Amino acid sequence: MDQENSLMRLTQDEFAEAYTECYPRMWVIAASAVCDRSKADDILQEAAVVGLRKISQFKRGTRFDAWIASIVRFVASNSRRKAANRKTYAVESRHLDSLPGNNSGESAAQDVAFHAAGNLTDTAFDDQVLSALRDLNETARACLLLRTIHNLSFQEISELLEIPQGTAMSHVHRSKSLLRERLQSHA
Amino acid sequence: MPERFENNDPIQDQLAAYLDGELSGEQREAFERRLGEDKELMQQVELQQRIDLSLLGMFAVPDSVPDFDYSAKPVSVAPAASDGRRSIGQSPWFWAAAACLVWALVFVFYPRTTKPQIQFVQRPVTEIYQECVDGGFRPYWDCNGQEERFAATFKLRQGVELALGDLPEGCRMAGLSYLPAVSRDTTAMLAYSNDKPVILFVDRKENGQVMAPTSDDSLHLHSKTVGELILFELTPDKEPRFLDAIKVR
Repeated sequence: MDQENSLMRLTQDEFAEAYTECYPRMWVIAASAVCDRSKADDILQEAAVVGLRKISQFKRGTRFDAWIASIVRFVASNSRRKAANRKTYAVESRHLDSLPGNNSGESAAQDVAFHAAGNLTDTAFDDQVLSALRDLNETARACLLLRTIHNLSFQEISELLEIPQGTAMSHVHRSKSLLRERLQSHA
Repeated sequence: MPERFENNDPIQDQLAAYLDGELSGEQREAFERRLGEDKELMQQVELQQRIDLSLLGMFAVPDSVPDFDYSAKPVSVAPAASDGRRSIGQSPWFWAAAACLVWALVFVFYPRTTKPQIQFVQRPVTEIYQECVDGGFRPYWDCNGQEERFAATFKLRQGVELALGDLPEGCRMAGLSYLPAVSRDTTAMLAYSNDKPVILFVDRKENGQVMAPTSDDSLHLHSKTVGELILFELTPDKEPRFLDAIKVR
C-alpha cells in the first residue's frame, strides 16, 4: 500500500514542472486575490512551498491547476489578513497627490505598492479601475481577470476555481457591469 | 450609467454577450448595426474596451517564470513552539529588530529612483509572427472605423495618439493586439498586404529595438521613427507598405 501511495504521489520535479506550466493563470489568481501585482510572485513562492509540503494530498489524474489554485487563494487570504492587521503604512509623499481622496489607509498603501511595481500607466482612469476592482469580491475578481487577461472560457474558469459554470459567467458579466457603472463618470 | 443598461434591461444581456464574444455571426452583425445607431450603447462598448485595456495593462502576466525556492519554509504554516517557550519568531523584539533593518534597507540604502522591474525577455520577431499566424492571426480587437479608440489605445500604451491614414491598394488593417516585441508594452497592428499577414510593432524609441530575424528570407523587417515612437513592419513584402500611413495625430 505504501509503495502504491508513493507511485501515486508526484515527484518534486513533476510538481515543479506542473507549477511552472500553470504559473500564468496562478499569477492572475494571486494578483486578483490581493489586487496587487507586486505581491503575486511572493504569494506564488509561498504557495509553491506549501503545495510541495502537501503533495501527498494531490491525486494523480485530477486537476493540478485547480488543486494548486486553492492553495494560492489560501496563501493570498493570509497575505490580505496580514496587510489588514498592519497599523502603519510607509507612503512616499510624492505619491500622495495621485491617490484617490476617499481611499482608506490600507488601499492607499496598496495603490503605492501597485504603481511602484512598474505599473504600465499611472493614469487617473487606471486608479479608478483598480479602486472599482477592489469593491468586487475575490471570486468575482478572479473570474473577471481570468476572462480578460487569459481569455479563459467560462467552463475553464469554473473548473479552475471549482465553482459552477453559470456562477463564473454571472461573476464576469456582473463585474463588468459594475465596473462600467463605477467608471461611467470618469471615462 | 443610463438606466436602460442597469440590470433587468434586455439590452444588458445582449451587451454582455457581445462583449464576451458570445454572439453568433448574424447576431453580432445585428448588434453592431444597432451600435451604429445607438450612441449610448456604443459608449458602453467603448467604455468596456477601455476598462479591458486598463486591466490588461495593470495585470499583464510577467513574461518569465521566477525560480521558485521549493526548499524554503512556508510562512503560512506556523512553526510549533517547544517546551511552552516562544520561538524567536514569536518574540516582538525580533520583529521590531527586523522592521528596523527593513526600514534601513528601504529608506537608507535602496535608491529612491529605482523601480522594481518586471523581467522581459526579447524574442525574435519572426517567432512572434509565426505564433500569431499559427494562432489564426486574430487581433484582440478590430479597430477599423474606430479612429478615436485607435488613437486612445496608443495614447494609453505609448503616450502618443496615432492615426491611420489611407492605405495602399491591397492593404487592410485587421486590428490591434498586445505582442511584447521591443518591450512588454509594445502594441501591435495586425494587417494584410495582398492577403499576406503583416505585423506592425509600435513602441517608444527609448525602449530600444526589436530582436531582428536571424535568417528568414520570407520576411523583411522595416522600421521608421514617428515622433517619440519607433515603428517596425514585419512583412513578406520587400518594401514597407504600412509605415507611411501611420501618423501622430
